[in-house]
Amino acid sequence: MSDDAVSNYGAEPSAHIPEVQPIDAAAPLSEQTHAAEQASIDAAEAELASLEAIEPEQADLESVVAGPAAEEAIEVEESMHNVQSTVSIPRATTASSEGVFNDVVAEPGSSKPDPIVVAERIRRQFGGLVAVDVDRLEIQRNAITALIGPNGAGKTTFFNLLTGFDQPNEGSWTFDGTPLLGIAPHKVAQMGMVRTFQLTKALSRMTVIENMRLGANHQKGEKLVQGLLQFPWRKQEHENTIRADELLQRFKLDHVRDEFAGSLSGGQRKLLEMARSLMVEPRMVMLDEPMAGVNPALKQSLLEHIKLLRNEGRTVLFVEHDMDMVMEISDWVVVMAEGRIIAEGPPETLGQNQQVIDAYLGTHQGADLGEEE
Amino acid sequence: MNWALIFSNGLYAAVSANAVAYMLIASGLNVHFGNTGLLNFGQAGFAAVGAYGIAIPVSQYHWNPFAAMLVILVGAVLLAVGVGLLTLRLRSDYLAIVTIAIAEIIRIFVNGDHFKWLTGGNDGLQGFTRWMENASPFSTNGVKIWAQKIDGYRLWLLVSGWILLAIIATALYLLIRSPWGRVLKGIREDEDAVRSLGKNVFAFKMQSLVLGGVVGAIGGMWLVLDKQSAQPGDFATTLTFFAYTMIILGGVAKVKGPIIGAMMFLFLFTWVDSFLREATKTSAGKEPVLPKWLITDNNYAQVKYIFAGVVLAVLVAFRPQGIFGDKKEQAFDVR
Repeated sequence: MSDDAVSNYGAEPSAHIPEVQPIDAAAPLSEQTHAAEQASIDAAEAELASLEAIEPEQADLESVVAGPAAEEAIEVEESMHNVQSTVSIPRATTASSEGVFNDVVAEPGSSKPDPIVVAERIRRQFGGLVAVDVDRLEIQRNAITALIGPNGAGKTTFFNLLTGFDQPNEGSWTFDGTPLLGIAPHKVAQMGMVRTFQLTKALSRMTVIENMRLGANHQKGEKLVQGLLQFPWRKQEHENTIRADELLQRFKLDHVRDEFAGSLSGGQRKLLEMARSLMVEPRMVMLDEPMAGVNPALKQSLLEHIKLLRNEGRTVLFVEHDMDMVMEISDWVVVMAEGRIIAEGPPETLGQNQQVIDAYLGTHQGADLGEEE
Repeated sequence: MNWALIFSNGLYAAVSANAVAYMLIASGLNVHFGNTGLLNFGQAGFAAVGAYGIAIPVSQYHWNPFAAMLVILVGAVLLAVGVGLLTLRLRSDYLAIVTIAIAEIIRIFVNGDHFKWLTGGNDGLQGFTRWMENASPFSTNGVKIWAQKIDGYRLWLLVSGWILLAIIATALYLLIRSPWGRVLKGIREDEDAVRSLGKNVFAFKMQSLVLGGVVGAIGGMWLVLDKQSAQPGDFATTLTFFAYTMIILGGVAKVKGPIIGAMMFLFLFTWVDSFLREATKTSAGKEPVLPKWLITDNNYAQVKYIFAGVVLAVLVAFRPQGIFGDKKEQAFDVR
């Protein structure tokens, strides 16, 4: 499967698999929409070009990301840790956040120049099993961070905790400076942190467009009385539908607009779930195994969509087992095993990290991985 | 065999005030089950609140009936909120268990001897319909259509009931097609997905429970207005299961579903009953049409319930989307 994905990569997309070229398809859309949309698509097109010949032509974007505050943070960072272990490697594979991580130490709990999420001492126990025990994690804004680890490492539980779907036994975390402990999941979503699910949750007996419209937030018509009266929400509904149609076009789902979501293929459902989450206008998108069960052709398209999310200024955190995908699109990788974060770093360095290798191959045989350094 | 009577009985049962009451009870349940996916097995409890909400204040305390309707509204809302607080944070199976229990508690309470001074106990309550009789514009002699005699009061209840139903069904139709109804459908499909999109699932479920409960209570009021007597036995779980059969017959999640379903169900139910009554009758010295070793005029009355049970079982097994339903949208969640 993954080999196919690699060999398909950059090749001529075959005619019957239209999903392979999402960016080109999105281009005509921009002609009729606002300038902001145009900018993001320009960035994406430039990125597409950079996939073959990797050149740092996105300096303008990265300076926006890294900002002045970032440099201060880096200085503090360096004084705090005696950088002896894995020294960060300059990166050129990804476009917009390239350089941001240059001075971030590749070790568990390291500080990031501009973190959107800061989690501290999060612990979740199920009976005697400690599913999650994270000392510290910072997630960099406007970057793609991958969360990997063997089965049962606590990745999805950690996801559930961050988004309020589960409550930890102890711990605290902030999203954009707001503490989220004890906040209900729907409020977390309203704040701009929106997740998808490992088992795709397309609302099957609703049409694709209704799935999309449901995602829009602050809908007047969702109040009982206003919903009954019709006129208070008609205009908003129209605007939401326009936005939904634009997203469907971008995700190449416009041809199934009026089909029931239950009739879509697995990959299309993943796309729908991602598109629907964008209706909430999130600042941070959390994807739980976006590639699971997706065919190689669609995979490439999904990858481009995820990169586009970052280029639009959003933060992406995703759980994934597909290492090709992790290597290709992530700016930073966090490795979990047995509930703890055992390593962090740029994707290229992971293969050399003994702890990561041990966690995946199991040579430690139950030793406490987190306190090895 | 008086075929005209058999058929006119069936047809009248499908549109009578009694049918309107069932349509309202089933419409309320359809908001819970069809639109929100809440497995409420206690709709009879909401109907009982409507029935006794009008019967007790008017019959025992001679209240103004419109004040009694306020009691019904408040009672249904309180019941819905109570049930919701108990169960809505749990899985839907628990809602089914708790609702069936609460409906039975209500029925056993009104049936009990201890509060007979209030509820009439097993004898039920009568004499709370005078205001409605006085409001009737029709002659008390009523009308005869084909073989069916309809008295003036029942005709008045029929006409006003259909007007009431039209208003409620229109409101439900508009609501279900609004963004509010869309959130309910989303919850029916997958409440975690809806939660992840920033919707307060608990609040929406509660609103659904209240709305469907109030509509069901209005149906219960209409049921006892038609019977002119509030009897505990009318609010057993059978009522809830009849309502489910009607919804599934007519098509789940559509506003017209419970209305068409109730008409079909009550026509067949009454037709079977009338047919068996005629077929077991010994008249003018002639032997009944059906042999006595099979069925007699003493025991035919149970057959309609067997028939109703078989219809529900066959429907759920072979046509879960209902007679007119769209399989893609309205199937039971049997996966």
